[in-house]
Amino acid sequence: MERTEVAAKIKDMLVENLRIPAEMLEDDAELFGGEIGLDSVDSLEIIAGIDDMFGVNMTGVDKTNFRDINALTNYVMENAEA
Amino acid sequence: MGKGMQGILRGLIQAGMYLAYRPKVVYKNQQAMEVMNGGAPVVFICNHMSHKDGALIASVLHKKQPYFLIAKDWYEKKQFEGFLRTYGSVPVDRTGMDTSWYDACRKLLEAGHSILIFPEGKTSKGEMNAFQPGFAVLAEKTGAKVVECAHIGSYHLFFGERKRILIGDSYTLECPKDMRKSAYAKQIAGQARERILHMKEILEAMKSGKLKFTGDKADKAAWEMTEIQGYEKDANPAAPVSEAAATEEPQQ
Repeated sequence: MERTEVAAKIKDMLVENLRIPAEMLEDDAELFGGEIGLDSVDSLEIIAGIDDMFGVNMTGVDKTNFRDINALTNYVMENAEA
Repeated sequence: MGKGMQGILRGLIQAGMYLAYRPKVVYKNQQAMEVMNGGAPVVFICNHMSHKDGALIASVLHKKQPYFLIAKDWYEKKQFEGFLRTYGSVPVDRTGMDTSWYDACRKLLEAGHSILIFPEGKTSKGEMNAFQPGFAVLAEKTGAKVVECAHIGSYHLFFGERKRILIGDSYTLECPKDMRKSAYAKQIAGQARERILHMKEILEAMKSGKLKFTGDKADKAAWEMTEIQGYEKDANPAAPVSEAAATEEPQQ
């Protein structure tokens, strides 16, 4: 899967499952601080969503990998099975 | 060790718990009994008073054979590890941002197993701790019903005060479109805490005789609960209060 496609799917998941307005979701927008302000409860949804879409388990993964859409995309690209 | 050993162990623990602490169990209504007798997996939530709660409440809920969440530091104690793994429990690391429990519970629910969660996350003496919202996130994601339970009483071995358990409302969660799921889960957690607090008051009233059993003794669901002042019999447990609804005039 192409990187742009992965990033787009993650963005859609964040809009749909976490109810974040699409206009706030630049690829480098900080998810757990600033304007968006997700918390640890939201991380459960992200983990479930990434697992459901890509089969990549992010349980116990360092929080830097959740920083923004770019970080999530990088992690999925590095860990998804070919 | 497989399902057979798990069944034997659960049976022994259940017998021991009933013999030792003689729990008195009541169901709020017929719906509560039907959920217990039904086949669908559910997420039980309950107040947390003692380290014995996991074994006792799971024993009371034996028809659903729930897996219960337990603090990782307890799960890894050598003297409990084998027992807890065989019985069926899920460790939670309370010291860090551990999400593995969520993954494990999701898979258990998808496989048809029920889960018992103590949302306080730790035991409380006196005032209940705040409820963590994880159970609500789990239930909303999987579609599993939440079943509220409450218990009172100290653990007196063989003699003295009996443990009392009330099995109450069950509901399915669905986050409104205009609400962030984490906000919804936190709201549900707060509301559930209030209801379980009220359930504890009901149990205390039963214990003191202020609330009498009015139905056929063979029908445990025939308790009339509405005598308790302030108890909202018809309130929808899973009704969210979205930002939009909060600004509306209250209905009569």
